[in-house]
Amino acid sequence: MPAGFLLEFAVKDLTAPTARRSTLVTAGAVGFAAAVAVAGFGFVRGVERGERAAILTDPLVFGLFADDRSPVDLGFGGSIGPDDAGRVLDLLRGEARAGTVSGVYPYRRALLSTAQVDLSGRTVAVGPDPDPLPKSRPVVWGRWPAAPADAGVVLTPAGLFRLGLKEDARPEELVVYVRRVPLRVPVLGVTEKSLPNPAVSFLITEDYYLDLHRRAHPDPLVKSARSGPIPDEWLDDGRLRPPVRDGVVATFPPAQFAIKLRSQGGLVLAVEALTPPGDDPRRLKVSDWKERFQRVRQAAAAAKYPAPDDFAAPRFDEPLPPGATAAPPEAGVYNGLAAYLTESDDLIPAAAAMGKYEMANGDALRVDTRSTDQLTKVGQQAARYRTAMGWVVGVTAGVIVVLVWFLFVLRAEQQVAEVGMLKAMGMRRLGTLAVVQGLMVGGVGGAAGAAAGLPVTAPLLEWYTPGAPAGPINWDLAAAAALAATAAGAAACWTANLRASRLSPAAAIRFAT
Amino acid sequence: MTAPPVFQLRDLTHRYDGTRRRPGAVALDGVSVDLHPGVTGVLGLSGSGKTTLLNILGLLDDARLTRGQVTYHPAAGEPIDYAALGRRGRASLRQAEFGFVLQSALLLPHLTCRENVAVPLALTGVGRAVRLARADELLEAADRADPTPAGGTPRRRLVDLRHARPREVSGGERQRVAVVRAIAHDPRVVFADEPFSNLDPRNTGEILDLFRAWLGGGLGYGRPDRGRTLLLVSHTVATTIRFAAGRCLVVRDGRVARNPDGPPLAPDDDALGPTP
Repeated sequence: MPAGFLLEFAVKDLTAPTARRSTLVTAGAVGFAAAVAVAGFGFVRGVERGERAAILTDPLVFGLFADDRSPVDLGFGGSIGPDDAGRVLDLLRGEARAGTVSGVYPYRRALLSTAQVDLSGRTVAVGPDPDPLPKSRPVVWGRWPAAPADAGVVLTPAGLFRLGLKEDARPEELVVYVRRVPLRVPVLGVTEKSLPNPAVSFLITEDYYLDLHRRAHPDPLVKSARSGPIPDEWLDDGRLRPPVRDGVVATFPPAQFAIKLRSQGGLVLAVEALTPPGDDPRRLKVSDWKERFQRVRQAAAAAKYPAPDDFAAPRFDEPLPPGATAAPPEAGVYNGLAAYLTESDDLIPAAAAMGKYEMANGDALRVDTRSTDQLTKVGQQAARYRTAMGWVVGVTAGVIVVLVWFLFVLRAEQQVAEVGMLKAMGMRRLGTLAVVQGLMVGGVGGAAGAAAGLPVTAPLLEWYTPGAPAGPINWDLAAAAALAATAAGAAACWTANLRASRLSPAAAIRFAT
Repeated sequence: MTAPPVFQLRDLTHRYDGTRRRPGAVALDGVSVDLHPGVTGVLGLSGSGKTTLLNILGLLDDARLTRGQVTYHPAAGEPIDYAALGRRGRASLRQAEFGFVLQSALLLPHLTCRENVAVPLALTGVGRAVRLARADELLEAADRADPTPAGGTPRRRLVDLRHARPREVSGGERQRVAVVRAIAHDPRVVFADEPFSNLDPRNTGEILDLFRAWLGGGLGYGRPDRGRTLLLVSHTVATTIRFAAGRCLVVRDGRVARNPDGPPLAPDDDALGPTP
């Protein structure tokens, strides 16, 4: 059969007044499946993309932090040698893709205050001011910590009881599980009587001030991580202050956003903002800080303030300005290393490499796994979503393929006599005709459905995560869905017509009569 | 007759499909006959094997013959033994040499009448514009071949129905279009199986007029007669005998009861014999 006649025949057969409705239903069903696939998988992809992007923009989880956490050196020591940062940097650059490791910097952690922690490791209270309890709860053994230069816990009689120890026990250290990580904590003393809050069984010194080498405070959220000499006016009592000036000052006085880095009860580095005098004196949560900083950035943009990338000081990975010198690392001061990466995919191999590094004193670095855990969690969640969406799309597509196949079978059976007559006239390639018709129905339906599914992704993501960016248009998904729909349509139509096309002309004509 | 036959059947035996334990019934049993150009009526009671014979001769049945041989003699070229034909060869022969008119018109519902007529031309590779123009010519020629009799009720001309779809025309008109479709590519043989069993005498006459015009080359084919052959199966015995000028093959219980090369039948002959 000539190709032109075959195409004309196929189109007229599909669009004849008696066939139009079933053609529309068939194409519509195929399109619905394609739309579900595009919207569903686009949604899952958008969620994963957003979660991964959040890892790179959230200062809590962006960097890799590793330190020497021997009980003796808890918060002290200086086991990181001057050359360790360079070696770890080389190590990481060997593991990660080129250019994705911004830098590795030593830091020193120093105690700021104590925290009250219960037996499960949960921080009950934390504050810069040492607990007033020492005045009312004298120790019967040992001493209270002398912040900021002391580390360890003070047990209460209730704490001894809960730990299964006798009242007169005097343990020198405890193993405390914080986020499932065992931590050996020195015992500084035992109080005479229990604390007023029965849930609190001991105190632990757990608040650190971090002094990053080169006095630079990485801040990936605002991309203002700086290194090298920092202008004096940027510093406020040793802490970085965002360079808010001119028109922005009227709205947000600089003191409002003084930032410091500290660890929280979970022994993990955190970022916190201080409120200005006269404002609410309570400490801000990180989320509040983010929100406020976003407002600063918006105000800065409105006031035509230079974008963060235009700030004068170089970033970590940039060379120092001519004439500027960085303070050389001091030996015996630093007890941690912070690494910064620009690609979330490299966090896990970099963390593994960092954990294998052996310091000069023979100890291995202990890597904070928060960022990698977060990344793994995102990956696992995305995999679960993909699997669930695969089932949804698979079941939908399966039902629709059966429906479409059934509609094609009905059409084939209705036309079997005419097909018999066509064969009597010498027509061959009826299988090709069926494939062409399936391609047309599947192609048109699939393309329309895929196109309809594309704009659905953004509202779905907005519903799931309000404010999340929609991301790029998933053309590849749409193309794949349209192709799959086309192939499914062709296969369904071909198989549905197999029986009719295999009948002899006489049998086909007899079948109808 | 000196002219070579169109079909040569020798000891043709055909059983319906069955199982090893229960073989199918015998449809044709030892049929040996020569069929020559022109009109041959095929007569017989229901179930006598007429349609089976036509299906075998027209290559409509893919089942192998149980026994015997069928040879087709084309106007030019070597005789063709049906046993040697593959699926493709059978389709090619049907397309080039045969035309079919059945009890039901079986027009394609999604095509107009002229497009239906043009289908055999399309299958032989004729371009769309040419084949549609040829279809219009054929419809007009068919109207000329069958003018409305003086004093008769005017009927719709086929050419006026060329843009209509089959469901928009009457049964008689559909069948006339089916006849034009069957002869559109000027086949050598037309197999007509009960073409007017559902039609009234007037429509029957019109169908016969169309066949007559085709047999006489009066539809403007512009090529010499290659020995046009019409095998006409019908229960309308007298009409068939009259149209075939008495040359009829009578089939009874799968056997040849009367050879068409014998003395011509008369319309009032008891051609089918006693009813069992």
